[in-house]
Amino acid sequence: MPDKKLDSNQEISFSELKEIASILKSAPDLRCFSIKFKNLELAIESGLKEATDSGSPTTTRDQESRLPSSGQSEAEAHLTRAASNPSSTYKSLTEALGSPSTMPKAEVLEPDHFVVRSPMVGTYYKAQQPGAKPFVLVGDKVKKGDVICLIEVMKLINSVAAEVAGTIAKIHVEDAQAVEHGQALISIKQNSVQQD
Amino acid sequence: MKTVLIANRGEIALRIQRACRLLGLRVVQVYSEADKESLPVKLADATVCIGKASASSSYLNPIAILGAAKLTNADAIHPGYGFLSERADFVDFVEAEGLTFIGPTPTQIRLMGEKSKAREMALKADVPTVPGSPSILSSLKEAETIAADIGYPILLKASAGGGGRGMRVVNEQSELANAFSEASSEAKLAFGDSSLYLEKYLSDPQHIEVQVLCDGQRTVSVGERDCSTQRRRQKVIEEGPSPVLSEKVREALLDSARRLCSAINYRNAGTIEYVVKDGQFYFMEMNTRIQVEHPVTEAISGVDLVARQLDIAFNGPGCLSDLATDVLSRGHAIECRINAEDPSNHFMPSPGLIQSVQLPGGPWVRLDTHIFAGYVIPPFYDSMIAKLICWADTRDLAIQRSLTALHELKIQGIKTNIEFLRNVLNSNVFRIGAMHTQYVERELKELL
Repeated sequence: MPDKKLDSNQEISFSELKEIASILKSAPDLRCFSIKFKNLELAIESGLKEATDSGSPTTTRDQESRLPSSGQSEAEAHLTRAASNPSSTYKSLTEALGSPSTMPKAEVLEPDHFVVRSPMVGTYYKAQQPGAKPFVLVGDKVKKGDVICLIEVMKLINSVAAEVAGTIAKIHVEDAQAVEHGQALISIKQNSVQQD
Repeated sequence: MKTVLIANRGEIALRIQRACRLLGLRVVQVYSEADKESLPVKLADATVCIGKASASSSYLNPIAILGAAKLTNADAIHPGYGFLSERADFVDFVEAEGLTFIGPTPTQIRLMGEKSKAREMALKADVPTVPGSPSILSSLKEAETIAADIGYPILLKASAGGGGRGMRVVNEQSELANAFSEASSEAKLAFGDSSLYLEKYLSDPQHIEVQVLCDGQRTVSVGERDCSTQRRRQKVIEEGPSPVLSEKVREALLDSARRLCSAINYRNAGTIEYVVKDGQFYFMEMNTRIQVEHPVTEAISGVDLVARQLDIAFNGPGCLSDLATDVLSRGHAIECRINAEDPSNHFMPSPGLIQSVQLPGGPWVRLDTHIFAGYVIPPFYDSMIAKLICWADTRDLAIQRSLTALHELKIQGIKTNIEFLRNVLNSNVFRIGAMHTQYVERELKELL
């Protein structure tokens, strides 16, 4: 399979990228190609040839056959059911997106900690904007109602507030990480006498 | 055979693919990891994965997109709407690499894409504008001074903006500091540029916009659209022609739009947006790209706007010579934006797996969408999943046809605003054409 992979921990410049592009032009039979550098990842399929419908085993078209509803035009999608197994159980969004890195990890939660969970599927942000001071750090004291992070879903930014007063004990997620509904975001060690 | 790289996703990527195929162009589709199984990726001649799900590492990443273009020998890049469509530095980069940007020149984007400079240009071209800050606000303090001067309520707007992102109405000075920081961070996130400007806020105006096509020599107006049916500054329903303009005002409006475009030798499709209050129109901003609601104009004019964009980019001056300066429209068209959101829960976005889809049909019904049964709507991008455009001889019939099509359209697995759209179309205000930009929000209870 002409699926070459160069791994590098270094950054690639645009002129280097162009050099790769010119080398690739001399290998017109190449169908799949991917590169990975510190600053850039690209994966190309059948992009180096004029499009043909000849259907060689390495074209994108054929690779699509593993998709549940491949080849359906919009019109053909008319009243069809999803997936191969209609009775299949609920498929979580992140599972369906096939991104294991976004799956909730096994949560290790302290019994006396209050866990703030994500109210929705989306992307977690620790600060108002990239590079800004995070809303909270471990060890910070928070009051009930203080904004402790943001969840962005479909370009809508939602503030997440501390549901109890206390001290930030643990932050379970990374900045800009995709999170599920109900996923643990931040643990708060509650102030001793307070009840949630 | 020329190759066009599409630097966008979703329904607009499909729309551009269709125009490319119409003109016999080869299509390269770039995509993020979250869009690997999307329809535009399945239908393209070649595909390039350009990064992770977040827009900033994929669709907003100029190096990844230019790299993809180089590696696939693309001749031109179509940016669609949103993402990099109005980023002049991106166009500089594209052109420096010898590729064609399907859009305006970088100078025109800088001039018109930056809303504050656009206002100055509009004034020069004798197009009326709303009172406001002469240019970008340098600080909160400057905002306070100008706001106090022109009087509240005022509107804060992202200079790089569009589509209502990074926009806030401020009713009094005590709200200004918060609104200023919210709007600038929203603008930073949406457009990569946090600069804001402000203008006097006109209460309950109409939002009316003029579609233009310009080849760098000839300026053509293709009628207007009324986009007054909005919720939180997001357009909900668009239609053309406007039900409120008198013929005299319409002519003046179209004329002013052409004047502005001619003044800058504009090249590409574009939209001049106006607020209209009591028959007076004021220039708001120009969108130097194809817009979401362009099919409304296509339906009433018979002009394929996206194909024209490609034609202008590849063939330049002369390619609009078959069109009248003021293209006539026929009948009435209405576009409903179908969103993955839950109107009963504060319109909370509703991404996820689409279990089944039943599509509308019949004469003069158009549905632009990238969804299909089994598609998973990712949570990372816009919640708009389809556009329904219905045409008829009269506005009443266009409403009726839209209601029927919305009745036929069923999307299972996620929440959508289909019922809400039906309620809006059925509302008295919409029926009689008395919409203004605040009425949906104000009558929300009755519309849910």
